[in-house]
Amino acid sequence: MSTSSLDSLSAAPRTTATVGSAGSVILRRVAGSVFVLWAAVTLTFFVLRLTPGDPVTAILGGAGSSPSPETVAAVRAEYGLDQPVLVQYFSYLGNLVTGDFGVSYIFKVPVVEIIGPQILPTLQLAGLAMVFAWAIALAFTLLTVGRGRVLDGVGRAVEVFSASLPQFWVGIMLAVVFAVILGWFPVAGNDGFKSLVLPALSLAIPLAGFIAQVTRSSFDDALAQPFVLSARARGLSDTAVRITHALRHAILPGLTLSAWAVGSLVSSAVVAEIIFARPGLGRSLVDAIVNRDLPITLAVVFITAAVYILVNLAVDLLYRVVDPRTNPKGSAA
Amino acid sequence: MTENTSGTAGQQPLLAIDNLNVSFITPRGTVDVVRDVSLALAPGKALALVGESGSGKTVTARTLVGLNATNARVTADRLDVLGHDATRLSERQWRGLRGKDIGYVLQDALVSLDPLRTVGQEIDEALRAHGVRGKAERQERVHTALRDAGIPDPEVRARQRSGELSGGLRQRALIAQATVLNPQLVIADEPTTALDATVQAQILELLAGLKQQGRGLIFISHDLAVVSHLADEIAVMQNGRIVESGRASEVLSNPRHEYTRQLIDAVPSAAGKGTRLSAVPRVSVTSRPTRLSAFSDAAPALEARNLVKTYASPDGTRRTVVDDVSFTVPAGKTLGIVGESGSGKSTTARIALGLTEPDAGTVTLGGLPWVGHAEGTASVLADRGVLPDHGVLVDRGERRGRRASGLTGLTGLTGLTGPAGGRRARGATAATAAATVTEDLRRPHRPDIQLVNQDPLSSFDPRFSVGRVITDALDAGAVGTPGERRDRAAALLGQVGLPLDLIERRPLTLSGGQRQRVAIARALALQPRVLLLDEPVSALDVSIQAQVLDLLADLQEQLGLSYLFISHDLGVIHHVSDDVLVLKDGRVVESGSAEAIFTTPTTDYTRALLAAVPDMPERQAAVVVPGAPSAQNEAGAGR
Repeated sequence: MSTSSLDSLSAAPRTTATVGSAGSVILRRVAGSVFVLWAAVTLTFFVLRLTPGDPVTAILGGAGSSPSPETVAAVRAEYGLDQPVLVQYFSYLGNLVTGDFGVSYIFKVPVVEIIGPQILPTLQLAGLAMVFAWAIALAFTLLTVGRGRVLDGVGRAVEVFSASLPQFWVGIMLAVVFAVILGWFPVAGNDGFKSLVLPALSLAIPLAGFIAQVTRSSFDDALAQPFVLSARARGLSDTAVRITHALRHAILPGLTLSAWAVGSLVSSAVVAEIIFARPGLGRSLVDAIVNRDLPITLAVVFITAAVYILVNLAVDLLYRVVDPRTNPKGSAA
Repeated sequence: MTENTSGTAGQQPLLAIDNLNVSFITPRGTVDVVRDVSLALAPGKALALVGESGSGKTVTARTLVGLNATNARVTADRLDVLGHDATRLSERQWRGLRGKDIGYVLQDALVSLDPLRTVGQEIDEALRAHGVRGKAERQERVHTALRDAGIPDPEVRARQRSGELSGGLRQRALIAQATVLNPQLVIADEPTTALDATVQAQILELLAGLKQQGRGLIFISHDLAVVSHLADEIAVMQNGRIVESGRASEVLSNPRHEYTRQLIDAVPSAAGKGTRLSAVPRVSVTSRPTRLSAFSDAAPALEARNLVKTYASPDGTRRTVVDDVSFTVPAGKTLGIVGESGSGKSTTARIALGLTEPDAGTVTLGGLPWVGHAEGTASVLADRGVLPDHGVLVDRGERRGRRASGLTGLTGLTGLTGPAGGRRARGATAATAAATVTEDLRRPHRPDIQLVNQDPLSSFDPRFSVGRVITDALDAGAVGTPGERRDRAAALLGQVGLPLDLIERRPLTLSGGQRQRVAIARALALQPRVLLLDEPVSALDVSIQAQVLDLLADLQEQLGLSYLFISHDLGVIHHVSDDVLVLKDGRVVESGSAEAIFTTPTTDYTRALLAAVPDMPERQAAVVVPGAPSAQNEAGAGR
């Protein structure tokens, strides 16, 4: 009906950022993240517990071994598995609050000792993949958007193509071309920046396709805005207008997408980690799930959720730097 | 890149253009947009390009700064811009001219300045682009430019973004960024179109000041009244050609071309209610099914008493947006509400529609309690909401009969005798009562009052065809069978003067005037008694505005509609209204008959508003012979 748009003229910016001053946003987000972490851990805990199979079997060396009933009972008591599930759950939560992730069923050592050294390589990998993805997407946007129909069409096609590439295929291709044939980068391993480039690229290229699709349309919209014409009429070159005006508008929706992407990068890092034989959380997670190593699985889920929350908070704060209209102080009128 | 070109001011014309042609190469062929345009401009003079959208004004202006789209092809016998042959300028040379020697001011500063950057950064950018080194010097010049544009506290304003400034300050900032380097030529493309009358007057004064400093000014507008006080010369454009040009006073007082006359006639302030503004034929409503309704024609169509609405500000204080507003729309008449942005017009409209609950006050719709009435009176509405065949198409005679058989007797707020049960309203002071008319009670009566917006496009589903937009309204009222609704949609299109073949088109493919007609057709679909028109012509060119205003007048006359007409444009309000309400900061400043308010305003505010309206120099009314330029007597051309 026609009765709904009387106040359609409100000039509020389109934004995904949380409303409020930076301080209050951090406060509210921290409160929210405690809840999210709890929910992630709780859900994982019960889902893993409800899947068939006895954890004790995993602790005692898998389905192939045949331990005596006494051993089983002893282990069950040692790991507290003889208690009701709810009691186990609350004692796990209690330990978690003090930073104790428990003891690995397989390796029989505290989870922190196993996971700890693997956090950094994965974060490095995900972080560099993010940087590469943005660099590729932005360069691509700047070069092809609004440069005539041919370049525009080529740009679009390349974006869809790279967005639909499977990461493992990209990884293998990169390894074959740049490591095996050209020998520019090491094939595998984890020593220094050089060994990080190919794994990061294999995650970055498909992601760049996604980001570029989003930035392309917003860049296109921005270029059609009258303020671009105003800037050109002030004597700015086309390139200067693209960089100083349109780009800033174009990256806003991409930022929102990135918050989601980092979370998924941490979990999809396993692909690159396996192909390039790197240590990392992703590999640990897969191994832990296969071996039913509950404490490690829970710890990885916890860390992934934490990274996801932190990145979203960072993007939220970054958003108000790029778009000052989000800040209530900046929109007093 | 900052080649000095400013030494030649004074003698040499700023512009000398002969037979400019601009066409656009599109996949479907070449489109000629500007044809054989010849212009000249001397320093210290203002040239106005006038015409409706699509007449080629903007393309002509952009050619003068070399900023047409990449598919534009520009040819001219002569295209001298500031002594340069503009057809031979390279992009680099153009960049040297833009901003430095030619300033370009666009329409709406909210979108014409980068909303993410401060006003100061935008102005600074022009200085940097033209090689002004030294941060302190640039900052000083930014502040000077803002001050010269009439912005108080430039140090503060320079740190704000366009969204934080009021419409007037924003437009001044836009002018400041275009003139910071003192260009000899300033091109202003519809610089006042989105502005309130008083702000518009201030901006026109600022532009006149630029002219007095010896700069040349190209001024683009669709509104002859706006340009009349500023322009030395006027060129009227239609379909890419200049159809008439000459000294401003000459063109305005003695227009020779038919189209110029149409544009002059279209200015509503020049003609009171009842005068036709456009040459389009009257619409006539032939088939007129009427809807059974409890709406009483004897009572005022819409009556608001002591409306109050406050909102909480972000800082916790309460802001009174509507403050004790009362008004009456007599049946079949038009009440104009005029006020600047932020005066509470739209909130008042929302309350009148029953979309926003007021903090206090009541609205009565055709004698029915509509918003915020006491419990007892509200129940009357409930009783009336259960008419057995509500919403069924019945003819007027039958409806009259039904009303006589038991629906009369609505006498006002006090002593209401409901037809069913004789329930009495307790407490005549409805404003103090806690219980109000609820939406459930209102909904069956919603067809009686309908809304037409400023921007119909945003209220249409872009995927709907025109026919579906209209039948959708009928679906909401569950009127008739699908076939009947389609017939009804077709009839409605005819009523608003649109050809039937538009029914399959999408709103996006329509012109602004056609869209507004579709919006009116949709509002009429449920046979309302009252139309609430919120800035219905503000987004339209003057000539299209004239056609829509004429249409509304025809419909009012033939359907007996009552209008609540909201506008910031006093000319429009003067033209359409029987009564006028002047709002300022949520309060009624003045109210009375249109005649009284426009001839003998009693408050300073109304007088100031009226003074800000750009009035046309008088022209002797003449019988217009279409097509043929007719000789006219020299009228009293008061400038």
